[in-house]
Amino acid sequence: MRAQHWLLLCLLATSILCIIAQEDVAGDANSIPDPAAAAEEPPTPAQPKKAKATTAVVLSVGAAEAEVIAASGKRLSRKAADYGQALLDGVSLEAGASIEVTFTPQADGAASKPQQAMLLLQPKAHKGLSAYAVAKARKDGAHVVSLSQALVEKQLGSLGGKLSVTLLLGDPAAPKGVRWELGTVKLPAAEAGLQPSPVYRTALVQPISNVLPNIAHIFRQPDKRPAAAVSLVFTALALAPLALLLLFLLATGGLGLQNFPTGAGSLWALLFHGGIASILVLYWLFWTRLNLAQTLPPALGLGAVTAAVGYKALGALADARLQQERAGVTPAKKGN
Amino acid sequence: MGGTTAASSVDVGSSTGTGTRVLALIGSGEIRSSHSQFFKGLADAGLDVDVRGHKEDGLAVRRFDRLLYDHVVLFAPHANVFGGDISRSELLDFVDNGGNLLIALAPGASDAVRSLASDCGVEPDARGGAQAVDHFSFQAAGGAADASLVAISSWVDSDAILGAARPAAPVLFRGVAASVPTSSELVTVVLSGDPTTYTADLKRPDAPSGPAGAAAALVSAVQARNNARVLVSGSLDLFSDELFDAAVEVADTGKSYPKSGNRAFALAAALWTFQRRGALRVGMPRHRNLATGEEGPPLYRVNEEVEFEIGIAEVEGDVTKPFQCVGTLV
Repeated sequence: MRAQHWLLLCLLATSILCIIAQEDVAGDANSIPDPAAAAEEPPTPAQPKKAKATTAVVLSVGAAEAEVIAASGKRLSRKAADYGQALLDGVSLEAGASIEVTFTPQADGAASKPQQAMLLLQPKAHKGLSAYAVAKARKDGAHVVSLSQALVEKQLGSLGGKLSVTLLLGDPAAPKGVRWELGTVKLPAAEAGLQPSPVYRTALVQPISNVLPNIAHIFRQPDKRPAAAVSLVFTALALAPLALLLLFLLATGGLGLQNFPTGAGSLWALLFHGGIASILVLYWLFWTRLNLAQTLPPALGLGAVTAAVGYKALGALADARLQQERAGVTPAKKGN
Repeated sequence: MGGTTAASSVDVGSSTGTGTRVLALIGSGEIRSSHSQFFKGLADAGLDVDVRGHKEDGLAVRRFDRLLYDHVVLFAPHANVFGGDISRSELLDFVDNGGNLLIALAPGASDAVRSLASDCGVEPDARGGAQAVDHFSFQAAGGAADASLVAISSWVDSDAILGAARPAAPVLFRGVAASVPTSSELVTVVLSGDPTTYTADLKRPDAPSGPAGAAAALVSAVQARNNARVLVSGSLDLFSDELFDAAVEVADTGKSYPKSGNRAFALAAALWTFQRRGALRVGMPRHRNLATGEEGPPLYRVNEEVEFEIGIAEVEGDVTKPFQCVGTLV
């Protein structure tokens, strides 16, 4: 057993020493530069494993040309400028017209096709908004990009005023991009009251789109009614029959109380008239104050009482009449 | 109808889903150490972070209808399958139940994570290796020339999302961009590209056709109608220690900063996502009839003047303070 353990330990130690030795050899090769190579050319840095072996190019652009094309297609004017100078100074861009900017991007002097060749349009009046126009490469290496109001409107909505135009060139192979401020372009003024409405949200321009409008409630105006005088006239007309009745009664002698029953019947008659009067009072109370649920029970009670009392009163009247007849009102009968 | 008045004392009535349990799903074990400062920052803010591999067995965010975690961090942009009970529909259910989600994408993100982000309202650039590229404002510190590591200064001007202070230096970003249409009501773009940024696959010579400039939403925040918050970041490296500590030199302008704004930005956005900032709480409303002076009558008639009072407080971490409201609709 012991011998086997020793054997394994030796093998382990040998393999570890081999690994360490290999690392040492590799380390020496990387750290000591080759003196022969250093004498001939500047020492190139040891290439890291992850970077591709690309050499950095330098992007540049020589000159650019801008051409204004009217809505009909007619080429109106043309201007050229070198890198760094202003190409478009306040050129007016009408609706339907377009401006074509042509340029040739170069990498290390030769025409190239960089990944980023676009125009950046930034409105001066609205900070934080920007529109982009990507250039297309032609066969001969020149790039053409077309600016129009429709392009800006598709990205930013209705917008007017000055836009500053910048040419951006960039490529993964180039360490730095090329930026050229071309100048400004003037768009026709937007319709009054219309705000730019960009298609995408940005961190700097984010309209709040979910606030509901504040509504001040207005109550419904009451309907128009006729003049008060008209209503009063018709009230008078409605009450006219009652007034005429009162006048008639006053004229012909009052209520005619001469035949009011006397004696025992008078009590019943009084109670009966009292009951009718109380029902009329209940009518008035119902009209002014009470509701039906409060009115019906007393009405039923008063009605029953009045009916009973009325029955009694009629009975008393009949008895009185019979008594009168028996007491010798036969001449009235003889008259028949 | 009367006006609203903010009460000086606040009754804390209902509580929003502000727990402290965070489940962090990482794509590979080294993220635990390469993003340690971010996790430590969350722990310092009072959250319990549970870092697990995305394929571990027994992972679950809820058991029946009880949520086991309040927030989920998804740092596995290349994951197609998750372990345990986690799946795309499970995470969407988690958000539907009020949980908050922080998703980090990367170039070459898997379809599963990409469609999860899309379901939350943020459409990542669908082309294979496309990422945000800027040949002007990229990180040039130490002689670097990688245009895919962009240095962005276009962040949203919002105290709720970024806190009272803004990052002091540009934010370094390496990842995919998304596009968020303006008609979207629930999504806010927190970090968008600089005017010179565009999206392209650096390995292919195609002309750029994805979102460009500020329309490239690099980090977007979604607040759902149930108050659940989802942060979709196009870059996992934005949260890494390497970029937290990196010095920034913007290639175009040459300005240099000793430290990037990543730490401030990432932690501020994460704390917003986990309801530690910018959450409102309301107290019990009170109302009274101005004519009769009666408090809380059971009914009002048309044309009666009512005074309605409700307390609204803003919660930041453990601090509750009165909410300075810009406009309140009753």
